Amino acid sequence: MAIIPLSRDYFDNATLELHPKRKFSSSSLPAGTGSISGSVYVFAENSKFNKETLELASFDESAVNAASLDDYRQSVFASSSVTTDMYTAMGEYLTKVTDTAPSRMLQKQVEILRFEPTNTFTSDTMRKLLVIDTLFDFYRGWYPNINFGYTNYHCLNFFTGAQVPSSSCLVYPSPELGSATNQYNPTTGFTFAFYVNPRRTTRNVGDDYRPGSILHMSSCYAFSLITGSNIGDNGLPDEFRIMLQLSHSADISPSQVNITAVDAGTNTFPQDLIYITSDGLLKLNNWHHVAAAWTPSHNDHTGSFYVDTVKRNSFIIPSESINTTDQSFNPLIIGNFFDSADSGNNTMSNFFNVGASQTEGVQKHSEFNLNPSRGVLSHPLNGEIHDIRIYNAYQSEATLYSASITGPPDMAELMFYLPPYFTKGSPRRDVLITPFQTTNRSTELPFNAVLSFGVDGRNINLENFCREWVTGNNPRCFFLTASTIDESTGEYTANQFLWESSSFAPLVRARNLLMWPNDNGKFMPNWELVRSGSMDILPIPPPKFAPKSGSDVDRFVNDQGNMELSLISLRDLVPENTEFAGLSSDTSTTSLFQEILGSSPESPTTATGAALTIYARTLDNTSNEVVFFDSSNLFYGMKILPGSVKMIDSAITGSGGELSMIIRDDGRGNLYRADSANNNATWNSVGNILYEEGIMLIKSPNIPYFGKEQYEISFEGVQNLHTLEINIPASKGKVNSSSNISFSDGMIPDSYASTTDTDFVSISGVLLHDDNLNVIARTTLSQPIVKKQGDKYLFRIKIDF
Amino acid sequence: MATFKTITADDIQTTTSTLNQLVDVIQEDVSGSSTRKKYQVFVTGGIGPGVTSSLFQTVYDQDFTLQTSNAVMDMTMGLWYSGSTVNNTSTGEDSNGKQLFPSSSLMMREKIDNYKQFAQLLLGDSTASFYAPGVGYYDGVASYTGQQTGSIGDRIEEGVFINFKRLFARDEVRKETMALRLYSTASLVRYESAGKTYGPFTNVNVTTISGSNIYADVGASTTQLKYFGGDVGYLKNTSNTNEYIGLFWYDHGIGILDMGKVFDTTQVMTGTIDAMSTAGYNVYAASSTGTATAFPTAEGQDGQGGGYHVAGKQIISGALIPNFVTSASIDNIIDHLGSTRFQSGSQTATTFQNVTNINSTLIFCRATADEFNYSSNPTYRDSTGKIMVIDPGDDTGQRSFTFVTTVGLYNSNNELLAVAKLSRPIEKNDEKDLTVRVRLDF
Repeated sequence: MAIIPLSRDYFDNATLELHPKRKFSSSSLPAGTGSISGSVYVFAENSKFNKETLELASFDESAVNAASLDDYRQSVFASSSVTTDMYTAMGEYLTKVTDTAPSRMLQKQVEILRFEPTNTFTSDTMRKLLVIDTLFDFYRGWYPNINFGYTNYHCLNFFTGAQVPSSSCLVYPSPELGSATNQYNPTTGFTFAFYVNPRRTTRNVGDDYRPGSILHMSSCYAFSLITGSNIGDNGLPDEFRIMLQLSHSADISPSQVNITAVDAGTNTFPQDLIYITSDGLLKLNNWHHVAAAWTPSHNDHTGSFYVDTVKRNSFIIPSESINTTDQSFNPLIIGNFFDSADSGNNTMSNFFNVGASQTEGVQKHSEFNLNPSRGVLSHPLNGEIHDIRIYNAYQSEATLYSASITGPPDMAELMFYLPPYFTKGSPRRDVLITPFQTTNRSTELPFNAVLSFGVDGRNINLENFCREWVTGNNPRCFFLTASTIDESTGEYTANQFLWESSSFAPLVRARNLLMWPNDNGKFMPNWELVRSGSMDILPIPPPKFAPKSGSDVDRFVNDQGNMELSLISLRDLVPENTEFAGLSSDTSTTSLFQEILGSSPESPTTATGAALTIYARTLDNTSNEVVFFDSSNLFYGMKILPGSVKMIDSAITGSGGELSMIIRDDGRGNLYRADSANNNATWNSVGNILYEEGIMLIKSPNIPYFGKEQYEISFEGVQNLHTLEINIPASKGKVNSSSNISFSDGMIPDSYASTTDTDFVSISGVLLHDDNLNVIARTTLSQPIVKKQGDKYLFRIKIDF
Repeated sequence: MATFKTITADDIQTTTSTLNQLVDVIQEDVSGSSTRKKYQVFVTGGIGPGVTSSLFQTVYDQDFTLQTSNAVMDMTMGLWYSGSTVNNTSTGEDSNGKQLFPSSSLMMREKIDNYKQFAQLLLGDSTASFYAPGVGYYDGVASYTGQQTGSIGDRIEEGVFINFKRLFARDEVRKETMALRLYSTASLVRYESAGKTYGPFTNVNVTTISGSNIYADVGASTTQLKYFGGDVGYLKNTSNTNEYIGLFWYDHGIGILDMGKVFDTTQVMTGTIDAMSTAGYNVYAASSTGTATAFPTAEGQDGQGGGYHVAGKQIISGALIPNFVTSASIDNIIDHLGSTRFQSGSQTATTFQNVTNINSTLIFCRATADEFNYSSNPTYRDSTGKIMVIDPGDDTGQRSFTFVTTVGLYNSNNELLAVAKLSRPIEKNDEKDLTVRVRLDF
């Protein structure tokens, strides 16, 4: 045996960073259809062969089976003292062993927990507050954009399905009240521009794709989304086209247009003013910027389609003006096509009837309390749109290009502009405070906070997103509005009333699913449009650049209170002065405390009381319309690998399976929507992720109940594997003798005739000693190595930990 | 944090406790081809296409291709180098003392080496043999067959070795917990279906369905035997506990079964096995009359009129001992034992309890009434330096107190070695004597 001192030079350390991949999915669907997969075992060694001698009871069971299996085993073996035939008893024992379940402790698995803030003060409330008040502050040094707010970047998500009405649309009054000029109708030249994403195609091979209108003004213009000729690998259409109808041709139902004739140039009156973009330009689930521009003075009445800011096909309108047969009141409809004569009940001014004026706060253009029938709006768009602009003049290619990236710098030559942005302003209207009661007021928040903090009801304030920025008009949210329940009902929660059981539930679902986070990364909004008023510059360190309290922009602040126009804060949603003295987790609907508070999540039918129940219980006035996902570090190790997270809800609540959503992380602590196949807006924060804590938070109230019915989360973890490398030299002329008693000088290492060197050893292992020569580690070679006098070896030992 | 107190030897206690876990190996996991892994490291040369075989096979608790699978036990068999089975087969020795065998036998030297390895490990002598009873020598007093040698003698000349993995055997196997269910005979029956007769003209690979025995280490607690390989106990037939059929070595987790006693040695084994054969055999189905010269290869296979020619195979038709154990490769033998003698049902094939020793150090961290009532945590005092827990103006009537949240253990160089967190803070004031017992298990 030789002892070789090792200096530090012979030690080396290396660290491998491992990225274990994890995928977890959960479904709360009814038994037999729902499932959970991807859970991880708490104990690495969890063979089903391992069982307990004394079966462990469930955590919530108080009883222990006193007649343990081991007692039985002992009695069987003890019986050998009185009998030599114990076969039957032993067989019984083996049967009991077989029947014993695998160890519950070793089989323990952990899942990714999903939770929403609770209606009473619970550990989940604490968890929420810990994340948004403590952990956000702590991690802001690493991830500066972590805020309890979400980015003001949305799109209009129109979709069709059995769960929503087909006649939903936004209707903008034109002419507006007090004006005789139709402010949305260009007559001597125009440019229409918008972003569109044909998000969905037909459901089954062979199904007809019904054209859906993006915008329509009767007898003036209509833009509709139709399919192209290409069929994808799955047999469904995967390319789309935009159809423009002008003047009298805009009264032709989009589904009745003879596309073949238009493509051949043989379309005649009344379909003579219909034009379609070239085939193959618009791809399924891709964002495209589409524009159509025309003026009689440009290239001899030649107009052009621009797709993705590149001029594509052209069209000629042999006239000096268009749309001159405009009716007296002719509203602009977004997301549908008005397919009727302007007469009778379907008179278009009835969109703005006296009843709607009172309950929805829209302009009054009709003294009748009648609505156009739902059947006249039968071409719902099935796609997403945003940044909708109508100019009253021909815009150059350069202007279109710059506006397609950052939006219009100002309102010059614009007749209509719908970004859409959230703003504090909204019409005064009937706003739900419970499913059975309303109050007439305007709203300043992205969702109905009174409903949320009072009875745990969820309803987006759609009106705060739909402002048209040229005139400041608000639309009629047609078939997109909830009303009170005025009939006797069963016992439900507020959301069950609103989203499921009421007669207007389809409208509530469509309303809450209309304004979605935008995933178009080609565009960066110009949030300067929402700036107004002045700021408070507070000198206290650190200095704050905060909007004045109560101003139009005081909702656009980050967690430090500094103005950030792109951000909608979700803090301070209920004034603290409405806090009700006392704190109670009493959920009894008959207690004195609850009588004072009035309606509650448990009893939404009760009249409102002195305070908002949930706020009174939790004293937490930050948004509860959020969803948390809490992953144990058993899933990821040290932290989740930034940029590796993907979350999928394959059937968003309320959509009847028509809508799904993918959310990814940007590697810097933000979660963004990532459904689009091209250029996702990675900066559009809809949530946050704390990689080191395994916590994912969906903040945007515009995403209803992400993952409530099912979700799938995949990510990679980060785990270091350290390796200690020890190099042990066996130099020439050394390590040539052994103290092993079998060592003999007379031996030769092999039988080759040329071998004459008898000074050799066979090295079979290496021992590592500490300073006191205690053996602290031992390594054995797979087979002995013969070392002769002139041989030089280096043994490299690696220890992983 | 903040106050150090020296821990003396009086404050430290060490204890040892044990943890028992029940291990239950299911029949189908022993028999299944996806849960029993082979390592085909042995290859013949020279005659025929060659035979490949493992030296042992490993049983897993699930499909061994899955990352989550755990190896449960290794199985192999061995022959004592000087037993009658070996001696009657051997054709002599070469000049280097290597035993020679005819080409109709397979892996004889490997079978002998297997036995020798276990003998070296457990008896300390590779040439020694196992006895049941007797362990390492023939005990004429304890003998139950009255014979020392031969396939039914007390010397285990043809052994099945079951080597439980450390993951399951842990520090040792608990005595009087070991039980095995094995089938002494290979399949016997034939049956009819749809006018044809099926069944084991071959029984080498046909699961047996009756004749189970349960063997257990009965009496191991009272008769404690200690040998070179540690504690050992006898495996006995629970139908008659006077029958000793093998040994179980608790510290190693190794069981040795005497094939001569566990199985019906005289039963004729029929079927196709690997062989050093160039020509091979015409393997064709038997007629339904049962007068066959060759055999269908799987249960339910009729194949009348058909047949096929396989090089590198031979038909076995002879007793388990000595014909089958000498003619078949180790893989063939383990395949036969695993897939037929352990059965393929969902019952327990073998069970035992393992023992995990847990050494604990208990460190009693004592805080007397006048200790640890003050904290150096910066939050303990306000910006003016006043103690937060004492109301202003009442510093004469109130005494400081703390909430203990953590105990840190330091070495003599004041280097933090370990941290113990309390599940919830405990108030410490000058009216309380507090002892926090820190337990280190390893």
